[in-house]
Amino acid sequence: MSAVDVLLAIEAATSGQVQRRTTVRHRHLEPEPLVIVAYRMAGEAGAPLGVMYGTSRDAPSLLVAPEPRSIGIRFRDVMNPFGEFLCNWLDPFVEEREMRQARHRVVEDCINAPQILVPNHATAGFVGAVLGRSLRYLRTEGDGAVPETTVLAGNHFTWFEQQSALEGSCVLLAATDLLRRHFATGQSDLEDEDLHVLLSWVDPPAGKTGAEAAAEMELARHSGDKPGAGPTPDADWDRDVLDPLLEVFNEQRAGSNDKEVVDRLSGDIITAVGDALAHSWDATWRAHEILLEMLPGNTVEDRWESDRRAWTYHADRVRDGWAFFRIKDTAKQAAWMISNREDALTALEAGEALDDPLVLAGLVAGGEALIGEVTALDRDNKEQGPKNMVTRPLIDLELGEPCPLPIGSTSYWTVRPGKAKVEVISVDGSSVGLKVVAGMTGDLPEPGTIAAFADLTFSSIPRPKAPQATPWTHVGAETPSIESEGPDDTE
Amino acid sequence: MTPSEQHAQVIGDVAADVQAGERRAVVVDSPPGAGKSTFVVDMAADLTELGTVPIVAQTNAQADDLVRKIRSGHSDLVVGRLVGSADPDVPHDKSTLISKQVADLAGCDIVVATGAKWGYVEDVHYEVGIVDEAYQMRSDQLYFVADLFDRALFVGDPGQLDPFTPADDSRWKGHPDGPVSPAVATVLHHLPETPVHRLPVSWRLSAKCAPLVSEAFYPTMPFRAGSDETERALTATISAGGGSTDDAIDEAISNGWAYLELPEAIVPTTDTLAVRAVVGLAVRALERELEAKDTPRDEGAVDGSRIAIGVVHRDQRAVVRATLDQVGKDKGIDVSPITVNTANRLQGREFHLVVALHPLSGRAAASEFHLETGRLCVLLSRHRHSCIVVSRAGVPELLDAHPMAAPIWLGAPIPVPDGWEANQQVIAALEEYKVLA
Repeated sequence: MSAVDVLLAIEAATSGQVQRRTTVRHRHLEPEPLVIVAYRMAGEAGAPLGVMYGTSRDAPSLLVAPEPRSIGIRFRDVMNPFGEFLCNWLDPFVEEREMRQARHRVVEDCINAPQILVPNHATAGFVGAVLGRSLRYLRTEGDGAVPETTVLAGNHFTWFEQQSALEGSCVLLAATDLLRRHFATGQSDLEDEDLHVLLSWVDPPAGKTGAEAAAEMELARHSGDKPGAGPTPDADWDRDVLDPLLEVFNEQRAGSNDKEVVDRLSGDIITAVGDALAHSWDATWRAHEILLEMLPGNTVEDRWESDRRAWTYHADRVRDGWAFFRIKDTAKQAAWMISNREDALTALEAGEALDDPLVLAGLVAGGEALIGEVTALDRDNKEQGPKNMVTRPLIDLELGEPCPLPIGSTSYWTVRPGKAKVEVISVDGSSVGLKVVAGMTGDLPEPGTIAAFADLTFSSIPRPKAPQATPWTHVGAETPSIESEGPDDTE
Repeated sequence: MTPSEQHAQVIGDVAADVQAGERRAVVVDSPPGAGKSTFVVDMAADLTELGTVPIVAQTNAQADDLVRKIRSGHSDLVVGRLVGSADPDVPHDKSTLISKQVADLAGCDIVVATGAKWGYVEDVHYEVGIVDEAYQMRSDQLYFVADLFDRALFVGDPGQLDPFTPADDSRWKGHPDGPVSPAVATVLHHLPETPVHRLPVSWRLSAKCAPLVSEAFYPTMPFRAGSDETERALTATISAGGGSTDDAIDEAISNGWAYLELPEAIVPTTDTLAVRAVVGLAVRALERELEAKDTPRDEGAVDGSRIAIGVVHRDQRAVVRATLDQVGKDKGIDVSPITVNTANRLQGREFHLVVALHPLSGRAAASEFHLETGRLCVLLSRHRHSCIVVSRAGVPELLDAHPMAAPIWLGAPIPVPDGWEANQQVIAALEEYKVLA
């Protein structure tokens, strides 16, 4: 948390009004994402009681498993139809392509990447990691066979989970994360994870402060008027609403999983679950509406482009029937993944700070960036290089406060991130001497202007070539096999 | 056995294991100041009879240090310094070759480069390699370099800071071969038969200081000081003028440790009182013209280059540096040689006197970051003579009131020592050397 964020949180707490943390929107938002709201059975991590989903606020679809602990009912009434829906929804994203001339060949990029929006962090984990893992290894033949679309949906969910682990990725977004990135409330992070309460801060009814609206919402939640946003079970709702209905249902069906019997008896449970999920459905779409009104930052589309590239890779594997995921990463995959994550984080930090003065202010307050008036620029300064005299322009900067960076540290001019690199060569109170050590031929900040310098870059270090076989230090105990990449190594 | 004999015995055992070549990996754990880099350089020199020896360092500064050490200790060897782009800080002479291409260094006895640079090297192969600071090397980096050699000697200090990533690595928590795990953890996981040796003597820490560090941070690999109390001493040329700053310096001079305790308060990381206290101690130590006795080196004055202020956060470093420079200016003392840096950047460095700002000073809650034993261990093990710890009062109560909130990862090794316990132990031990501000 930067000092600016601390200040905004204090202001929100004292005023009772939410504070903007950003001047622009830092995440890509589709006008019609797939919204998924889910609720699961207490004590059953992978057993959804109900799922509400769709790409239009006015036309939600609802699937309910009136007794999720019955595998037969759970798969027939929720998992299989939901898997089929997901595959059908993703089909055009997989198939619709445009040609692009790459260096040596023509590639077929997917036209767009899909975007899923869920109410909170817990739902993102539920549809990504939990459903992905629980569905992708199921059999499509023999005992306990499920339709191929159920297994494929599991692989898709896993892709969403893995891609969304890249900072700044927008393929699987939680409304609470989105709102928290853009607004500061006067409550704790844990409290902010309750979408209904968070949304009360951000979007209070007329005549109330955010803090007042949030307090009322908390009371409504405790009195059972509004269950939580799922999928984590709400103890009050479970006890007061679900449990009595479930008892009657199980008594009446007398052990039968028969479709005709279940359909005839499950009406009340479906209505209750639909009512409960509708609150979260509305809240998620309201968050979408609020965020969509903000202007996106300049680099938002660059990051969405990275998502589209990654989706194309996955879509190609889907088309080839090869979209499988291991239980445990190989050393090569792990090295590749962590470096992807580090690159994504670097690009996100640079993008947000360069798109948004409020974010840059946080870096300045934290002593990680310099901002000040340029008092002198000597473009022609020369010094002795390894062989010849080289040009190393000098910049004098007046900060108005002590310089937080020690002599020798390097950063980039924010107008040319990753290119115009400067080194701090002298510090005298609030006056700083900078030497341009890279990118000296292009534009440099002119005297009299305000310039900022921060260690921000979009360029990543190219990765070394991976060894052909796993090296001896990484082979031995529990090494995932290299040869099989697919259903064979599911056990 | 004398410390020298103990040290020589372990080195002999390691050399025998490496020469025998029965195990692909040999690990040497080294406490702070145990003569690790001398050992690495001597071992490399010994192994040159098998062919060129590659040394994998973790930073360019460490690689340059090793090259200089080889130059001074083994002037008969030709050493290659493989670089990416940086201009290395090594002697430019006929026996030191510098190149960006490994092919240019083919005839060298030893080639030194960072792990990051070695990762891009292809088409060469060596019989035995040496990985220095192997506990700070990430497993994913080892993945790209391990095939350069058939066997390797891993040398490092398990008590310092583990490698880290700013990215989310929870996916691999609990996997000893996860990409951010220390290289040594990966090797020991996959090759459990690997012999692990322990250097038994710290030549840096004095007889007064070694026991606290050994007991708190290295409970499973105790070590002793290489010197006895008659061989090391600090004396102040200017006598004390009264006040807690002088009292703390006197305590540190006579006992090796001092703990300057400030009144309890919850404060921002750039706690003005604490910053003034650490700066005041460093400046006063300079003013009092300390003299060091350091047999057999028999060193003299403790000038600014022998003094360091260790902090935890970068914003603390900035404000301590600015305050120090200002105080130096006001008093007309040259404070520029005094090092001010974070624990992370002080790893591998050595000073006569270290003034350390306690990681938990003035905090409202103990976080995982602040409890990491490596951080405190680095701060408390950089000194040949004395260390003065500065903290707000109330650290034990803070530790008691805030049980760990960090997630527990299935399969993750239990950290030894436990951060919470090591912190309690250190603060309890420092109680004996307490001076109230």
